[in-house]
Amino acid sequence: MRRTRLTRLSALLAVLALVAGACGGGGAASDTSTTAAAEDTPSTEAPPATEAPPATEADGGGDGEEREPVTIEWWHIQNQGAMLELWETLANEFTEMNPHVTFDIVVNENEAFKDAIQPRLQSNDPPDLFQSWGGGDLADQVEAGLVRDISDEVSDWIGDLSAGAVSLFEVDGGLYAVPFDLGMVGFWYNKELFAQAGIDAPPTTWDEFLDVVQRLKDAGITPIAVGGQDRWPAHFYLAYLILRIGGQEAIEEIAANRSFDHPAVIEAGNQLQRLVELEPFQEGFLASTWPGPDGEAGWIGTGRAAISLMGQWGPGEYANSGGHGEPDQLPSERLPFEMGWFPFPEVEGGAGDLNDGIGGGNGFAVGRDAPPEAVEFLRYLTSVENARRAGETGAILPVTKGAENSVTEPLMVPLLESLAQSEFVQLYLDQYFPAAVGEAINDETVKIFAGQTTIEDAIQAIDAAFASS
Amino acid sequence: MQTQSQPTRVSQPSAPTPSRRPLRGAPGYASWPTLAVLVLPALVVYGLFVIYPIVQSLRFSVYNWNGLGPLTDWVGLGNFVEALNSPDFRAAIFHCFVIAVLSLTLQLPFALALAVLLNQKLAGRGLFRTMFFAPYVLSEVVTGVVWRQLLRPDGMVDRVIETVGPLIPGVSEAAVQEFMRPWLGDPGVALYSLFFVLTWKYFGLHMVLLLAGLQGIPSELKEAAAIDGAGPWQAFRHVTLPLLGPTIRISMFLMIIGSFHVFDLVWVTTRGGPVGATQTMATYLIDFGFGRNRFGYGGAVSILIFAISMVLALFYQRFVLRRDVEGALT
Repeated sequence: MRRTRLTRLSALLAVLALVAGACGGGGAASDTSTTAAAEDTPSTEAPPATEAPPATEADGGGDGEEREPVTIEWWHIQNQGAMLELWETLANEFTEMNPHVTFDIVVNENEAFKDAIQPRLQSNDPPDLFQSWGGGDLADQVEAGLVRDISDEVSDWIGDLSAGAVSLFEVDGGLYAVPFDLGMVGFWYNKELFAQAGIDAPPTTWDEFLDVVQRLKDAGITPIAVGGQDRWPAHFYLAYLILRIGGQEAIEEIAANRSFDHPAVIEAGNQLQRLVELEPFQEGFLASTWPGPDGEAGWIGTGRAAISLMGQWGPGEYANSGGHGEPDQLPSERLPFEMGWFPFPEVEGGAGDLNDGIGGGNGFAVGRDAPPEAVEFLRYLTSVENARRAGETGAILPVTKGAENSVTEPLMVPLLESLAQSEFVQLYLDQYFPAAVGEAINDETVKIFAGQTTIEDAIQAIDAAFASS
Repeated sequence: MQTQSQPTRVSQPSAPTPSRRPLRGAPGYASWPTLAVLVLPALVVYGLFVIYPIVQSLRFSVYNWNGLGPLTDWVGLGNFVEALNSPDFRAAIFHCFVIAVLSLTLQLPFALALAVLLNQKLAGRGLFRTMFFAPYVLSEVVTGVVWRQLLRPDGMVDRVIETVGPLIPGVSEAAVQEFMRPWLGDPGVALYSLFFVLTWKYFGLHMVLLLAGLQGIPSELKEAAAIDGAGPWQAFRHVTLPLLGPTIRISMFLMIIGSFHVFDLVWVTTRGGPVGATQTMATYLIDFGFGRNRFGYGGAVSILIFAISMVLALFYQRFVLRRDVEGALT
């Protein structure tokens, strides 16, 4: 008898598994369980608020300062170190100045944020302020009416910010987010490992770069770390090669034709192939993420690899993932070895300029129903004093005029110099295009890194994504 | 897990226990209105959380939709055609089949062997049973995080192989180095590494299921076989195995269904990488559907996954489980 009961139980289990599968297939991807939500409740210090509210409401609100209590829901991705603290401090300060405002802060790691924000947007309930990179995603959000055109609300003060940075968040003449950071991707390198390999100066041409890679390899050093599992770190290589070979026009033509079938892309693929053939990447790079001890940042942060192609947020994460120092120190103080930066080298005969960059900004998009206080808060957040505080952490390159020189992190100096000279900064290609295309670019680049595809097949796959989006 | 109290439990069924079960068809049997009231909440929940989402994904699946705004771009069966033509989706289906086949050919015999072993009188057998079952209790995410650490380059697994490998006679240091690779980072082996972790996690469950099945086989039958002159292998082959049939078939069923739905562990360890080498149907759905704001396409993929699982399950019911359903003992 026990046998049949067991059979029945197992059959029941099997049916449950099937049903669960069916549900899983149909439901939305509400993957928010991985969210590290840090709730900020400064309202505990709000006894003054209890004195007045009922009374003022009764006598018709004689005091113009008295405002309806509002909560600003704010999603950001500065989930570590000094920036996490600074954002929290700014929110607290804003609440002190405006006691009717409280904050509901949700902090996610970069990748987790992308998963977590989607269901919120889909349920037509955007947070009041949330991380944005502009580009295709923001355009989609604008089209769906999820974000608000704030051009009028910010017209008094938006001129205080760098116009280039602001332009990343404009869609069809409207402004939907306020930037707080703008940077450029370039090569971060470990000076000590370069010295060990007898390399005195960073390369300025692609051929020199390949030579540097070979010399590092000959010296028994892992030349390059790349986060192959996250894929976007790899796409920087392809994006930069396209930019250096074809220049700004190439990218504009690609976008206009909605096709990667362009001579500059093919040549970029061929040049990338030369790099891949040197086998320059860390062991198991296809399973590496960007952050984490085994990620790209960890390999650099622990001095196990020499070069990483990454944006301005690189050094902070190298220190985090390498496990060095305290978050409130500058990255250069935390890292136990000296690092340097050089721009992506020129490709011989290419149309692009050495100082043109692949880069991007971070900004906060304003949700459709956000209270006006949310926009006021963005003004506070990007004011010169506060932008300087952000710049001082060394993790952010502020875009408020007059705050540029607050970046005391010496590692950032060459990057800022290059940025200042650049006439054209192209938004990361995976953000610039719609998500389906961006991810296809990332996928195909990693396949090239893994030696599993040719540039011709990659172009086909990316164009298929264009067709479907 | 049963420990010392177990012998008394085994002896219990000999005592007659007739009056435990309520009598069917008795006058107190529920009337229709009562039934309706009792069933309604469950029906509502089922409809809301199972039927409705399925209908919704069917609806999404014929549109090209980025998840925001209204459904306007009708593409008919275009999403289904695209999915079935996509080399990545085909690879994902193939990977699920690989895991299913490996589970049936390696994991099941392994679990069966352990079950038979631990069904014998053996010192510390309760401890072993608990130990082998323990991984199953761990959450998939924890398992994934732990094994990601163990399998990383220069991680524990590598260190063990490096240390133990050369001690095996005939294996040179160079051969060991040749054998080493990034277990989760090499597209050629990542799927098998993952299968290894899946086996580590799930063999305990199947072992316990089979163990329960083994304990349901009356010892008289084995004694009778022994008296008839059957050796241990013959007794196992002709008495134990046939009587264990129903349990084995359920184990197989769970393995097949599990293989087609494996997600958490893959997502945590490899996210379907390296370069798609461990993409399963479920990770493909998340990555290419929701991860790329293509909710219509995701809907189509989810329908396809549902159809594939359903067809398999029905076939299995029809051709493998039929005898069990009809109440046969073997």
